[in-house]
Amino acid sequence: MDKGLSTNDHPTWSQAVESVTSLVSDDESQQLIASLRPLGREGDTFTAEAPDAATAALARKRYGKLIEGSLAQHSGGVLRHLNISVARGGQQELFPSPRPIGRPDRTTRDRAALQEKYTFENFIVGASNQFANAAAQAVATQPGETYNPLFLYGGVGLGKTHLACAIGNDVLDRNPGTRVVYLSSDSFMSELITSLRRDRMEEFKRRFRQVDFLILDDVQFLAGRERTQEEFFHTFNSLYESRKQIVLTSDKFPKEIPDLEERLRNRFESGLIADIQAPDIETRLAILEKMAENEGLALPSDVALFLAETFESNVRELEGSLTRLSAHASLNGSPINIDLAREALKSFVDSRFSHGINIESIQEAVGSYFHIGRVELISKSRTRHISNPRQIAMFLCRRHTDASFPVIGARFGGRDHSTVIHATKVIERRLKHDPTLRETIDKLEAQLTSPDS
Amino acid sequence: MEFSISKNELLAGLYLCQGIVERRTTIPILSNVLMEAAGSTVTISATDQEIGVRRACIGKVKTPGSVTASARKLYEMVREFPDGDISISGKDNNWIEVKAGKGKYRLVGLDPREFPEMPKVTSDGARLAVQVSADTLSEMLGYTSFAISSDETRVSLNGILVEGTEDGSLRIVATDGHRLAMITRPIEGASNGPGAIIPRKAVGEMRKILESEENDLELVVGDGVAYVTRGPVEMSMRLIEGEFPDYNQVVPKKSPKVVKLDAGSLLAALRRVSIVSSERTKGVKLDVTKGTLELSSINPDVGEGSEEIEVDYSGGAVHVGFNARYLIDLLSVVSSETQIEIGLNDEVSPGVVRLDGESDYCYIVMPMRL
Repeated sequence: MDKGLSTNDHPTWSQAVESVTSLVSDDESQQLIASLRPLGREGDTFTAEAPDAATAALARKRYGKLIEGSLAQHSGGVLRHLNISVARGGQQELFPSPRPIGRPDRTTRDRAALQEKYTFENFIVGASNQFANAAAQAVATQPGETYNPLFLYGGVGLGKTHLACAIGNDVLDRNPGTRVVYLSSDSFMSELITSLRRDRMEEFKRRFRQVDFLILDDVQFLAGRERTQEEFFHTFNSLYESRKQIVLTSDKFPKEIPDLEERLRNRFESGLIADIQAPDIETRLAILEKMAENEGLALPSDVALFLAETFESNVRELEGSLTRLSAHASLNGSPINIDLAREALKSFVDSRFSHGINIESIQEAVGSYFHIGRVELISKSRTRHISNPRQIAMFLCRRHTDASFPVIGARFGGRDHSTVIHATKVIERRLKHDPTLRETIDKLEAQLTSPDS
Repeated sequence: MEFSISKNELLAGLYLCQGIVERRTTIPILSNVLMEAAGSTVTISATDQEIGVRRACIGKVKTPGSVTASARKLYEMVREFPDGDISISGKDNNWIEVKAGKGKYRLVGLDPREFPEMPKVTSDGARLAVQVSADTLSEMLGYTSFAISSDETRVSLNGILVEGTEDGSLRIVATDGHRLAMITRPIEGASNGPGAIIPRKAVGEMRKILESEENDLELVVGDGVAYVTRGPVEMSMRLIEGEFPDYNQVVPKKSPKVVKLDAGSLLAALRRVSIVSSERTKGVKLDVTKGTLELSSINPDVGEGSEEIEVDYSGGAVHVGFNARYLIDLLSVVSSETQIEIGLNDEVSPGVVRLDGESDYCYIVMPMRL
């Protein structure tokens, strides 16, 4: 194809583009369309090229059909398809690079740490989260303009992270060049600490103050972290003033987060607070159906109802139950039915309803299993024969009670929530390849969930 | 503290410090030079905490001691003094007094005890210790350092890789991810070992030392720090921590189509043709046919142009696009009579430039799709 052609050499193209351009009002879209260069036609397909892959993707997504229709109209139906290719002329790389050279701080989805599976499309909307979903969509379409900051509030496992990631993913789909940063408050804090220690604060500040879109997950963990709050306050202000979108999630209302600086609290409350309630039964059923559909499972309605009635307050557990059930079914080679469901989820259901399980009972059980006293278990001792049972106990508390990390930490001799997080991670990791530990945990769980405990 | 020193000696020391001191620094002492007088030597040093340089200058020391003064002001002043001796003495509150001919100046200084330590290298645990002639090293740096990346997000490319090879050679490699320059020369004392990445700024300062001083240069690479001495000058520098990409994998084993021509005519033609290329990419198309290389460039906003050069080539036609700047960078550092060879394959394979009589040099340029 001849590169030297100008728009004028393709009258059909210029007519088509003109009529499409007259339909879009904003400069950005007009520029986008103008950046496409006609290359020529082949059969019923017209090819145009965009200066880079991102522009090509955007042009295809937003105006592909429009231009295609317009081309068909202006060519009297001869042209039916539009092919937008990426302009050649790119400098090739010597070394395969994980990200393009020469675009510092360009955030790819990987770097943004967004979970790609969380999108608006697969977020089940019901009465309980309708408002939060609408707010999230508005923020994704008009970042920095409508609700800033957007504060998503809701209990554990109700989809805060899902919505927050969906916003980020949607923004990146619309405009791949956007610098989206997603991270948990814990990561924010640990990055801050590392930067302080290595004397790289300038870098830290630059990194966070130059983003277009900041998503901070679980801001309730900022509680009591003065230096982190201080730094986040400045980051917040700097972004807010330059009209960059900020999205925060928390399992507490700003007012309820303890030890949060007043000025930060005010900032959190200054935008829109959208809450996500526990889903109603219809929504829970819809979630299960959607999930079954995605995984290709045949889920009878009585089983769905059983699950939806059993797991009322936590979507993650609800989804977990179906995963567990399908694993059981494929293991036994039997279809999913209500008997299998009752059997597979027996211990789980029991444990949820046996009110005997709490932090104390776990500490008692673990203590007696390892022949150490409860006092020792929650002492400051860090010898291995104490710390190992302690980690196991923390892990069990997390798995079998509704207690949060900070609460568990407090009940284990006033430890930090990060200690608990670490402990659960250690155990989870070891569980994968340590059969002895698995056995220990199984025994302890059996003991804890047995009716006569 | 008081000493007198010839203008040229003092200037030589201050000159080397100019590149090191930062213009804008948050630590005031880093914009100063430290002058230490003892015995018959005045040692002049500067550091930016990444690189430290010091030169032992011959002087007449009346009273030993140390002072500091603004590196830039002192240099500007000394440069304008008439030839002859200059005397410098320390006064109260860190002031210094400078006298030359009939001129008398007082400059503010800072407490010399605040002057930071230079990055240090201990000779034990040295990964590489070589003595290399200035001509050889200048040439090696000249042929490579232009390819250093200035993209700050790719830290490990912001310097040159220096390493010893199995057969007792010293190898220097620089790349920005689009082109790579590599030169290897037999150097006594070089032995196989992990390489070190010397940052761009230090490379520049090293080249300055190579120009302005005499004797061979000694290079010692330790853990995280390298150390260079030449005659009265010592320089130490922190190395870039990071992994230099595996350059061996990108050097093509052979290029089937080799075009021979002289550097001067290619450079001149490239400079002209690239005027009409895109400002950003500087894309120039090379069309090689028997005996002829045609360079052409087109930019819808400006115009187009082409040039033909007679070349020594008898293979089949090749068409490939390159960023003209990458070729110009190399051609600008070789003499115009130099015969060069450009090894090509097809439009997606890298071009390999070799210089006649420099069998241990190669310059690899990735093509552009035009």
